[in-house]
Amino acid sequence: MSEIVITRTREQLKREYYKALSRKLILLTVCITGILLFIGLFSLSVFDSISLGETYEIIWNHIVGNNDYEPRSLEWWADRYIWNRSIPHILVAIIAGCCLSICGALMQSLMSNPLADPYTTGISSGACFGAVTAIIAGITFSSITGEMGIVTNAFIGAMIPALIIILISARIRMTPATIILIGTGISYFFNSMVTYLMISTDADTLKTAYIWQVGSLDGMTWASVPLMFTVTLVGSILVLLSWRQLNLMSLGEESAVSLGLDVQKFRILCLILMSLMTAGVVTYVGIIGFVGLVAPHIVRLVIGGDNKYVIPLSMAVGTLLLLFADYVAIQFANLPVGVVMSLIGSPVFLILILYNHKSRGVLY
Amino acid sequence: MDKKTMTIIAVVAIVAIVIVAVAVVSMNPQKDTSKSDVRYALQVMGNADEDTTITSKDVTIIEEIIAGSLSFKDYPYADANNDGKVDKADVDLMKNIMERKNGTKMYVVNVDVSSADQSKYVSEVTYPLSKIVPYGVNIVEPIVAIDGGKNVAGYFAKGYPVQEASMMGEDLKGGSRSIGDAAWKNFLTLDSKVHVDAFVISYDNRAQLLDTYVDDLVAASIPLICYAAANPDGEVTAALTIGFLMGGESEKLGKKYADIYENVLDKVDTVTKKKAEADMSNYLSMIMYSSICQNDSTYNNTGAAAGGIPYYKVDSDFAQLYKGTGSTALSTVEGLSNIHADKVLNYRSIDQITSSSVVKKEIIETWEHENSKKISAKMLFEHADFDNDDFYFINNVLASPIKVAYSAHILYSDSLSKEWANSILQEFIDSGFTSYKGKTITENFITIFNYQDYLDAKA
Amino acid sequence: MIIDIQGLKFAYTSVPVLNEVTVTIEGPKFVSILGPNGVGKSTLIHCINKILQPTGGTVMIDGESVTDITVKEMAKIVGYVPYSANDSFPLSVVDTVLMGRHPHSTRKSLDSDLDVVYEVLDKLGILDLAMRPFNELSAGQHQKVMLARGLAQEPRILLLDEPTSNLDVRHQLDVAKMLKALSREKDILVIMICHDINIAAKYSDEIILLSRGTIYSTGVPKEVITEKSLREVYGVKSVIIDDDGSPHVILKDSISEAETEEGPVRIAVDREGQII
Repeated sequence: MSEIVITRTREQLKREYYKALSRKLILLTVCITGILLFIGLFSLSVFDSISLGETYEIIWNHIVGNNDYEPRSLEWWADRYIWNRSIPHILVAIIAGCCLSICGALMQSLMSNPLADPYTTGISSGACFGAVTAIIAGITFSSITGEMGIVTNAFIGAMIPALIIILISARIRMTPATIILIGTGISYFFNSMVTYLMISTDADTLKTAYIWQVGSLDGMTWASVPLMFTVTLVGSILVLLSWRQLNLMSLGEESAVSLGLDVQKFRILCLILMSLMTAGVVTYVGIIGFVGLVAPHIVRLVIGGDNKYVIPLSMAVGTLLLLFADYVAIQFANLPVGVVMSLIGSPVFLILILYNHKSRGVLY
Repeated sequence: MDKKTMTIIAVVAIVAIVIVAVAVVSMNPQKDTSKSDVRYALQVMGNADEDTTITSKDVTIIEEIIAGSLSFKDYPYADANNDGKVDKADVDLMKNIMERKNGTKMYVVNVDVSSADQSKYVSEVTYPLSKIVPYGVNIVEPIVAIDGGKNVAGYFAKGYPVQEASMMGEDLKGGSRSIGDAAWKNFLTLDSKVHVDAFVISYDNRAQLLDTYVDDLVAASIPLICYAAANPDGEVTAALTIGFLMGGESEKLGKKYADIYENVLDKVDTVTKKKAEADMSNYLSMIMYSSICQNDSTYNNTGAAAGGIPYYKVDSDFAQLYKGTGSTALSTVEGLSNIHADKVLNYRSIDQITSSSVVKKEIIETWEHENSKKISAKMLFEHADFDNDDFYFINNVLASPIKVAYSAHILYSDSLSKEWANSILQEFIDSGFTSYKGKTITENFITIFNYQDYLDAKA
Repeated sequence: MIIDIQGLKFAYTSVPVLNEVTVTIEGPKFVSILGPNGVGKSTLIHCINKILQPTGGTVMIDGESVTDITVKEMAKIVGYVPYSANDSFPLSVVDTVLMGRHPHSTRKSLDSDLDVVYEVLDKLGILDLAMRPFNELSAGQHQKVMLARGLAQEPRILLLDEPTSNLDVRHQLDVAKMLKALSREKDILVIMICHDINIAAKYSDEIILLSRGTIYSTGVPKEVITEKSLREVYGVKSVIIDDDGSPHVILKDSISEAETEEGPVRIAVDREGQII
């Protein structure tokens, strides 16, 4: 008796394929709606003494130019604060969430390694080093324009490990494993310098330096936005358009080359792009971990590994995650958002790994 | 006449002439237009002679400048209304200032928060200040001492709750080492309710006052007053000036603050004037249990005011190693072995004590506390060659005049006794400074303690 | 299709893997590359499709040197089926095979690409696996999907690195049969690295036997697979019988190193740490 084999017709195949696509689009829509709702309901409730409805009224009034309140009244301060601080704060959260998760997805595809995140190449420790030298030198040499000084220092610091890796990459063929190892080595170096700086300073400076490192959305203003926004916008568009190449990368270098991708060149371009994007964000907000690692994973769990959808969905999920962590940080804990993100991200990450283990029978 | 009689007449005549001369001179006092040279002057425009008060003498100087017999350039503070010229408007303003008229706009000289070098800056305030928001422990302490606590509308944190018990106002839930967005929002809400009349900050905390916060203050025309209160001079200036601006008891206490400081400095001066260069005591400042203050640290100012020479000035190798304005944590037990300072002044902030059992615990804890490198003051002391009388912990929360007195006692113990230093603290208590009123030295204050005190406490 | 290799050299560091390889492969044809471990079979293939850059010599495809062909262009001509697949990221089978269309696809070509995918899956008999995640398949199914991907490239030359090693006997024969049919029906030059001498001998049109970094011999199976060549290259004693015109090898015994001309066995590894 011949076995019954389920065959498909050509049309059936196509139909199933398109159906799978639509599932992904639905997820995307859900995420974006979630984000908008979250912002609308939670992130914008800025002052305890002003209700959400009144907050919207203030925003609306500002937009139509109807905002000449009595100076130093509650509405006046709220109007000022919402426009100068809250809105940039939310924007930064969105941009940082997008940027970090897209860089995480990019790194994971690039390195064919699910444990990669934007900081794997040592960018975070370079940025820390830059910022901490500025903070410690800034305070000891009494420069108040130190806020800008910290930002520039951090950016330059972030680019140093990136440059090292890119320059080495260009000359020597490196496997992803090598790149990660070099990145780790660079991280250790910069981390030790940072530790040295931190133990040789007084308590106040130490706290400032530490808070910077841990990742915080405090003190964001419109000045923080332009660099981050430009870099993230341009970078995201480029990455979104490269979804095909990223899919090839995740097949492994040999397969990628055999399918027509110049792996070395592409990898270097991606590293440059990713370094700029991550550096752009990290210089303002410090090191916020887990977003870049966890968001792409969650997405892959739901829709598989096709970068055409993983990239945009990672952005959406990452943004939602960061907004949520920020909300928790402000409302409940008054902690820096980086701490909350780690507290949330860690168990989520463990659950993801264990769930994956159960369904696949093998750990990463 | 014989010689004896002649002598007697001569003496009497001379005495008589002297008495008459004195009488004549005191009847017609010379117009005194000299400038004071105190380092802690009252920083209100109109205090033309830059002393610690505003008096008719200042008005005289202004009038002389208008008349042309004195130069504005020599008396920058004569421009009471800060409009760049000295004219009748200044004289009119002085009238209101001297009457302490409510609502008078006064111009306060203070320090620019955004400057790297403490350059001067003038803020406009409305007299009297009664709803201030202070930030920075170094400026909060003098404010609560001069009964300013009742004029505080809100505060970010109480770093030393017992000492600062008299501080009123709303708790904005910030930190003593940072402000933070959440606390700032509370501040804005507070301002919408009460219209804060000044934001007062200590210069050493200026990094926590973000540009965006300063923008808010400027937009709301909230005067920003800053003093380098980590320095004894700056602290006294702050007490004096802010006391004046608050008026009433605070003004009296602010002036007393400056007077006591003046006495201490004078006393120190008499002692050190007699000393040859080689007999001057040098000192090493330390903080955070086991960190050495770098050359340009503000902590060196207390020792300097007490007549000492900072150690880096006598040891060039040390000066090379400890460049900077911060501090260096020691990492080996021999950290102090190569440092041959006459005295070590180790600053530690300790709140007022509420029960005597706490004293011993505090002393032991301070000596035995290990830093991140597992080094404690105890270890450092035992490996170095300082005598018990050469190494002291000084309570940094005490008012500067008191700290300087104790420091001077440590530096020159043969000329300045501990009793004298105690008497300064006692004067603070007796003069009615709010955070000191009704307290006793032995029961409420930890002042200074050395290794022997540590051994006694352990026994 | 002509692949013309002249004096090809390749060395990873100072130890040479390929040493003056010269051979001309004309297609369409079904060619097998045989040789012991570490002799450079995969290296040779990788030098053809630009995965590795030779350290000496030239490789020409239809008169054009591979150094002048871009990686993208190469992918349109030469398909590649790797020995192992990286499955860190779960893609469905359809998506995986769809990647084979990458060199040819444009933004609008999804529909026609799916047509090609359908045909390939059908031909390999794995249509029922279409929507399954790639990393849930067995090793044999993996291999078929990799083969499908290579075929989806619609290449003129197809390179395969041990495509049958994880398959059961029936499927080993099926795949070999299919590759031979492919070379005829679609005019593809199929070059396969194989460890199974008998399958290679039965189905290949031509065999290239590598030994110690160079070509030992090339030609029809009957000429290349001889008792002498097996003894010298593989170090085995064998008896060869005729099977419908193709040689069939019956292995008798392995020969100790002292008796062969072979030197010590060199083991070459690729960048993924797999033994070549």
